[in-house]
Amino acid sequence: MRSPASLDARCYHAALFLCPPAFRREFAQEILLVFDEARQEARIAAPQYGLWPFRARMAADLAGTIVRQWFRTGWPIMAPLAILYPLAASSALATLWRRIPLHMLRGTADSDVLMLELVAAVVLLIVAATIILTLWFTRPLLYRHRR
Amino acid sequence: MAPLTPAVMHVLLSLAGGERHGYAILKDVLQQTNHQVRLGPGTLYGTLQRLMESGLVEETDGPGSEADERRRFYRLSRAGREALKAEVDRLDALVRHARGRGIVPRASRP
Repeated sequence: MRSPASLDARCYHAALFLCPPAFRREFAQEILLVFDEARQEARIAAPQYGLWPFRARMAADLAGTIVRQWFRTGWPIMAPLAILYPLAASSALATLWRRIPLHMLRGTADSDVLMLELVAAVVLLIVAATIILTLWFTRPLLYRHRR
Repeated sequence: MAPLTPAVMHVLLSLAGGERHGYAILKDVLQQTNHQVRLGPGTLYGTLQRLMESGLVEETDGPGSEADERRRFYRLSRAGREALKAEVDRLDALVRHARGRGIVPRASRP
């Protein structure tokens, strides 16, 4: 896959991984190409508002696509998970980031607390990722039992 | 046949003008609708996926120019053209019916 240039395209590229693998393999490269072109055009067309309306439109479109595509796979539980997981992870990181006293980065007095918070965040992310990956990889087994 | 969704209708109408790649379809839909309908890339490719699965649209090799190497081109299949024609006939009948009730679209007024 072509490496995207802008930060917007990188974020969009990362978010595409929330789509079902079959859809991603089939169309991700072209979707990114179209995204890049639409972004260029939006930047030229409405410089006074910046790219925020474009970003909002793309985010809404992608969220809808993720939900619809997971429903099409016959595994609809993944739709809310695919939307909620990044929202929960980014909210948790944002909350954690607000609570980190930045002055501690310079001193060493409470660095253990900072380290503990970072380790806790990483552990939580690993647990969440494990749950999602387990759900995904047990899918063929569920199919086998259904037959 | 069930009525086509607006996204499907716009994509089929765009491809009725000849084979196009994804971004050209988006631009064409924007133009068709006077900038009223702005399909996102996810919606567009989800629609194209469904249309290809149902045999209404097929992928082509495209013009083969060097600049368009990364692009994929799509065109209407015979079934797609028939489905589009059936939908346009249905909408035409609907407009005639609306005219009969005195609801005339502004663009059709003399």
